Amino acid sequence: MRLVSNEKRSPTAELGLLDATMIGMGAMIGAGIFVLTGLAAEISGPAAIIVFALNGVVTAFTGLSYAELAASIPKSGGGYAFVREIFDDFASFIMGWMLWFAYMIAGALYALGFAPNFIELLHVYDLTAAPGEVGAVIIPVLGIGVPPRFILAFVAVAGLVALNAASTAASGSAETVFTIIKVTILVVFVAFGFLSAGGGSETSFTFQNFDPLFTGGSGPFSILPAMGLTFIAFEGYDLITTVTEEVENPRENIPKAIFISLAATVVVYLLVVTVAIGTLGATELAAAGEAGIAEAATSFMPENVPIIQNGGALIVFGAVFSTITALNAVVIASSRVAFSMGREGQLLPSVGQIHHRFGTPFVAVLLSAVVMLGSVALPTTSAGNMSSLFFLLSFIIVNVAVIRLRRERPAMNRPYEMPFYPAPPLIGIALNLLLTGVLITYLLRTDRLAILLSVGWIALGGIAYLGLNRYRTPSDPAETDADGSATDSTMTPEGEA
Amino acid sequence: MSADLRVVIVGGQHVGYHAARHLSERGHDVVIIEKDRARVEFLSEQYDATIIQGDGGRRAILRQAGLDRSDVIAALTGYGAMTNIGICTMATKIDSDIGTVARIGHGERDEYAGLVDQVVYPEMLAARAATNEIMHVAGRGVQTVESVTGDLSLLELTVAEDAPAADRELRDVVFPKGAVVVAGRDNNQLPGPDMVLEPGYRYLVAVKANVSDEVVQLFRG
Repeated sequence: MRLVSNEKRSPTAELGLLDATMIGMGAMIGAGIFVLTGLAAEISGPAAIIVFALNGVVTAFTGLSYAELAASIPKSGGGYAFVREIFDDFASFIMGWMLWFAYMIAGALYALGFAPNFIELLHVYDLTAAPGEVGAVIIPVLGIGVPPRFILAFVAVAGLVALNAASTAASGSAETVFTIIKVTILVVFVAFGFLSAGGGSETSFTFQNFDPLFTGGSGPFSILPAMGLTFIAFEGYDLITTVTEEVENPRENIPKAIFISLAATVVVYLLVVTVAIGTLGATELAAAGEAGIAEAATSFMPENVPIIQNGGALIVFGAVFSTITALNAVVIASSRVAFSMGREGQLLPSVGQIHHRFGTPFVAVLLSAVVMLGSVALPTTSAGNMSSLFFLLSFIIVNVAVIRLRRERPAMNRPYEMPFYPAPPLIGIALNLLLTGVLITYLLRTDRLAILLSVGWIALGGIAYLGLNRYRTPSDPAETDADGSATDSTMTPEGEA
Repeated sequence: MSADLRVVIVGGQHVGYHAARHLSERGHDVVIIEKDRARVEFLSEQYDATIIQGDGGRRAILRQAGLDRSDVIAALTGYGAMTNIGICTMATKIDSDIGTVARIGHGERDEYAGLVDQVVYPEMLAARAATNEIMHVAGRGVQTVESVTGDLSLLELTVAEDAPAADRELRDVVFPKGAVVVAGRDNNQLPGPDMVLEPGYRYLVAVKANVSDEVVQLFRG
């Protein structure tokens, strides 16, 4: 007999179109825009604006695929669940393995983006020195200096992991409030940025900062690597598909939520990047790195605002708040991928179990935490590079899944059918492949560490898969029925003896 | 291998739809094959299962349900036992490992032994439920919860005021061999020797057919 999973889904959790949209926007607007704008400006200069616009277009093709899959397959597993539906064991394992890593590395990236912005926030209130000037923190026992940003990132990850391991995540409505706060702060940023136009000061908004659009002699082609690097900024709408079963009228609302959140995010990004470059200028933005937007804000936001003193502090707070909520989203997302893989028998069964007391996928959360905590030791750019790379790869597979499902299961009911099939998934595959290629070539020149770790992770996946198959096979021929190896060894140890 | 089942249900009318709903609520993956366009619309709105639109009796349609990855196929159409058994047989031709459940509309479960793993006779179950409700409304205090085997049933008995067992501890009641009190339903108790059989309360009792009259007499007087 199989174990019957008796835990019922909470039937009350009804997310409306707004909530679903906010989950997508909340996960996208968070880290990418705050952490990576400086990086994009460094590579492409003022053309960073085109980088974000084009990435929005590229990811929209995959958005169509996600919408079609989520509307027809009622599973809350996100990309992994869809791929698992149509691909064989190994392919779906690799998809899950890559997606899991993508979320974990994104977590490290957000934590690393959180740290300098947090220090900046303290600096605004004169609690610490400026981000660049904070000395190393000496760890007493080891006697070695550790950069405070590393400690902060580590603490942020550890704190959110503990929260998510011990209690089930905050509901969608909390996410809606968070996202509205984030977007409002960015709207304030944009408004004051444009208002500063004609102010005559050094950082007043001016379109002269966009001339020339392409800098550095590399010309328009410099935007391709920048697109690859900042692709992660549009990761997040896929998280809508991890909660589909809690959405009301899902077959209509999920495609809508995906498109609205993508469109709204593109608009917000373009406005924010326009203001950041228009005020601070691409060169200074690049120099500010992860705290670029915050730096831009402090330059033109009004001072002497009651309570918060410096208006720029509001934006810095927005950056801190955004990175921490986005980090929370990927802590949940990564553990959900691992959890689904465990339940499908593609990771050790204990990963797919709900903790008997906390009611959380405890092992999945902890396992994800190990990788995330290790990854905050990486340079911010490497974390960004790797997560972009793995999202590009997994998005390619999602597009292939749409095509395979259409070919092999033509009779499957598709409440939402993408227009102009098969063009969108084919274009999506082509563009994602192009960006992957460009990104890999670029990384081979500039960031060997990221390439090395990426290849290492996939190799580790191959080993894990082989090991798991060896672990699964012994009880299979005996036909003790398929539940065999997995559940028995952990649930009823004495029964096996 | 995996903790969640993947179940294919052929026929998305009342029986198929409610089965899908129960399975989905328990976290299992369900695929429904349904022929009728309007019904497909309805099922798709419920969002409990992936829907394949087509005739489940056709091999090309059945293949699209992904039988190789599924644990069980349940043919629950209203087109009669032979249709459903035919669907199950075809499914085992495509994937020999799959478990099979067929809905029947006549006959005994033994007649189908060897053809499919299990049969389900919804009309018979409904009739039994109706009988229980009739007995309950009439205040007779005896309901058959489930016929475990031909010989053993689970009864739900309400203790009557003047019954021999009323107000007595379990250890003092002499039950015939072949009867066990399984649970107290109204006080949510698992039985121990000191559990008192309260009048007006309902108890679940597993009973062998040959002693059922005697047990009913103990509870009802």
